[in-house]
Amino acid sequence: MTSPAPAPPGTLRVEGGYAGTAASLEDLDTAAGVLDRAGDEVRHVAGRTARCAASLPPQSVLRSPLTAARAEARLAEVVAGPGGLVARAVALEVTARELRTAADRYREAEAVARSALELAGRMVGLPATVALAGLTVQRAGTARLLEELPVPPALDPWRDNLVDELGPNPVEALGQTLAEAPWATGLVVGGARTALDLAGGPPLTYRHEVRTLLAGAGSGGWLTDRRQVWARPLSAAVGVPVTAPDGVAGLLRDQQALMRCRPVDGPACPERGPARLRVLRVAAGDGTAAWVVELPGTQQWSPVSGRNPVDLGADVRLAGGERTRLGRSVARALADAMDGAGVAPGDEPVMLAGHSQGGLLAAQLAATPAFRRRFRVTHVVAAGAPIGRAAVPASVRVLALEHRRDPVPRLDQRPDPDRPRWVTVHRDLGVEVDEAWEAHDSRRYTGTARLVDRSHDASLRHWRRHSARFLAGEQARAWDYRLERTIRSATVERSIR
Amino acid sequence: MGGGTGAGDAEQVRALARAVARLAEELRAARDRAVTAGQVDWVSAAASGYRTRLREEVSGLTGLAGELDSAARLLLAHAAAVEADPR
Repeated sequence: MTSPAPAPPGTLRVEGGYAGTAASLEDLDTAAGVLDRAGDEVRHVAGRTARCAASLPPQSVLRSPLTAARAEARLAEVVAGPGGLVARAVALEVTARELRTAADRYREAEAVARSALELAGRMVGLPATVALAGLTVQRAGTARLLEELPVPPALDPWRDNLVDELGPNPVEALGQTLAEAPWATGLVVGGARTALDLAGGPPLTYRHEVRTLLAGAGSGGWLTDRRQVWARPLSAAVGVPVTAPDGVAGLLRDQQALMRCRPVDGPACPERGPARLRVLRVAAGDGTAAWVVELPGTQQWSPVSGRNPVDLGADVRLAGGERTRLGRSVARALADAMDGAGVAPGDEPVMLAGHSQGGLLAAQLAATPAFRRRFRVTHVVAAGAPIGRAAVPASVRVLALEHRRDPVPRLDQRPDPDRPRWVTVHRDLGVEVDEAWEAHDSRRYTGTARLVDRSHDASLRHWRRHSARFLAGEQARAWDYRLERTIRSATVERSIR
Repeated sequence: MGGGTGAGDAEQVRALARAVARLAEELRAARDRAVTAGQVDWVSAAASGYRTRLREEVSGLTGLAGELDSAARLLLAHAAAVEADPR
């Protein structure tokens, strides 16, 4: 419950989990329960002591009234005297009640602080958004003008330098700005949300804003999710033996393989291929087994829905907590793999893991009641993903990795919850990166995951202990699936254009 | 006088003394459990106040357990006096 000191560049700052504030507040609740029970026990002792005092045989009192009076007086004093058993029982119960009140006050203060920060982000963000948008447009516009400006050949090097300085690509310019000032991501999103509110109508929730955006884009044929998404097993990888990830770094290394379309333990493809999903069954020596579902990050940035369903449209839908056809295809793939292994869904625990969109999809699937009813989801690992708004139940253990200069985890505009089973690891990459997109790279997150695997932090040690059956590097079997959307030929042509 | 014999009464009083001694042990067990409530990860002025108060309560329970032991001894002394009474 003390404020964490800022971590130097390169080191990890861990929030939440076993040693987080919420865990400490839970400790206070537990302590209050202990005091309540102790109070009950003391009260019980008081009652039985009083009965003992009243149980002296009358004949014994007559035979020795003085010794009887001494014993009775002492017992009465112990039960009902000032500082006696009854008074102590009440005091313990009052202390327990005050302890619970203190924990509640801490929780209320935390909630108020979070709301205030979110509101401040939205209000301050509006001018920041306008300024950043203006700056980006201005830089890009000036660069384009300069490019088209007829100048003598001798001045060409000077013009090229200036165009480079201005950054002709607005996305690149924005990326540099966000890397230099990571907090600006929250401001930009907050500002955009406030602008949307000011455009008319009552203030909208984050989810309604996403729905408004989807409705607007959908009318133009963008960001749609109308076509079936298939998860087709890759014949080369149906239950093949592999080595399970050896820690969180192993999961992130697998992410890189997924993005390179490399078959399980096979050579990398020359080009980025179709979207892939990997399902692993990790068997322990004692006969038990656990499942790991590795979900890919965004692969298609076009707003037009094409054959690859791991796209921008899925990003937006998942950010708004919407269900996606992509999510349903993951459920089908997992059920198919379990069927292949002769395991009934729900019999063995499942970890969902991913980078970027993969992490967001993992959190949203864990937050979906129908998915949890079908599969026993116990763990989520998300790297570089905005999952602060995902309604993941408190029973699911979550590990979130976030780089300070990565704008993507900030898109949800909400800090991750501080609770005993949710650990968020922050890392400042320092001078290692000068572009926001570099900080988002899964290879960078693999480096952070290595630090997580070696960390002595109490929350991380606790998390590792409870996730060992998934990440012990044991023998496993893997199923790979190709994720593909059914599309009309006209859409194909449009997406190609 | 009628009623029970001196020896019978004395044995009843001794049974009460044993019961009171057992209550002293139960109280010590409750005290030991209350001690664990102080082992929370909480640092603040209010936390210091809480720990001080808990220490006082624990100390009070220790004292009361001693008082119960003392009461048990007084009951044994009473039993001896009843037994020694010639009536």
